[in-house]
Amino acid sequence: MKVAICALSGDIGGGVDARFGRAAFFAVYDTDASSWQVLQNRAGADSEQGAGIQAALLLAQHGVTAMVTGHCGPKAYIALSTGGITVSLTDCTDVKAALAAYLCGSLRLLTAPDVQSHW
Amino acid sequence: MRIGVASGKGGTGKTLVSVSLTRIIGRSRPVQYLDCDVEEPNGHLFLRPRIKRSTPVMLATPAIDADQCDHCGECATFCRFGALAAMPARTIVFPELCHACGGCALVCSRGAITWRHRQIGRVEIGDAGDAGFVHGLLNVGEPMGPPVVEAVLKHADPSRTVIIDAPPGAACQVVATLRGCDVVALVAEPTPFGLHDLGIAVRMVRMLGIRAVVIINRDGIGDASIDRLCDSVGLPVVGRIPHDRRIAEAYARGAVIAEDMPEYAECFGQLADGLLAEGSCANW
Repeated sequence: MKVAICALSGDIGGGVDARFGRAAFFAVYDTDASSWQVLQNRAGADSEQGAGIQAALLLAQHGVTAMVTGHCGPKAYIALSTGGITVSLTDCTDVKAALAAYLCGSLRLLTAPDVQSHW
Repeated sequence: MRIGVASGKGGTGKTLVSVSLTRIIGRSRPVQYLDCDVEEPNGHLFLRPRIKRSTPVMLATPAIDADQCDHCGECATFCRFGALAAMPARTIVFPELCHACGGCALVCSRGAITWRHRQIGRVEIGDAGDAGFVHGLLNVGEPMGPPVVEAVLKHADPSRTVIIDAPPGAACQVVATLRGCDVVALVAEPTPFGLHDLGIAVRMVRMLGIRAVVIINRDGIGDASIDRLCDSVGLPVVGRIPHDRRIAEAYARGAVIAEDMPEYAECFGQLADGLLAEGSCANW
């Protein structure tokens, strides 16, 4: 499976972005191949509105099924769940630690958005 | 004739000017007041209209026929507002992002887009003494004001002088309000914030190709920067309302200043004459 972590930079050793829709990058880890891939979230970060929807589309197109972020708003949550992507919340500040926390099952899995739009 | 009253910055005195103009002009000719500030209409607090009827404003948003849709994504690619998302197994609609342009239905090759109508606000029609009165109310939580503005403007009576109270700002709702006006009065206050937003409003009316004049409210505070801006871009200042605490007090009581404070009747009379003269200029 592929897990996407919201990232502040294109470096997998970098920090976690607590935002989903307007995160600059997604660091995507493939648990089958044990490999990283970095996606630039141009459509989401640059959109005037509905950033989370565009970002969800990007992850779905790359076969991601789990996403780790700081917070997730209502439209992003609908788009992600429609695309079969789970949302887990982390307060880890770096990408690799967030992935480790996800893989050991210590992160909270969202069943509803945890913040309002445009938080 | 249609006279728009706009501002750029909020709270500069659009409604104060609009309701006074309605009463002053209404003494010599038939008038109608339209409140297009649909997120927060307040002209009724001063004109105290008798509402005779109310009509709903509906907005159509797309709905996806799941049996027809093959999630090709054409609709989502077309939609510049991102109101549709074609996820791999399901296409979804976000009605609050939709501007109801209908483009998604035009590009869908499978006829999978149908329409769902929902009420986003209402228009109330009545009269306030001799003046016609119409205002629009956008439902709380609805982001799309222009359809309600357009529904208000449909009631504009061509046999009357129409005073249109615009929303603040220079975005879609204001543009929708001012289209078709013969002249726009930009109400400005002489503060740095007022100057900045007047500059934006001036660029907007120039792009729309509408004749504009400026009314300075709270004249006497701040500095002469509004006058300098008007001089440099060739905008006439047709009136000045002094900074006077008693105006604020009367306004807070719901009074129409031009009627309630006789000492300002002449000020608003000149302002109305200036606007009517500008609005009837054929060549400019």
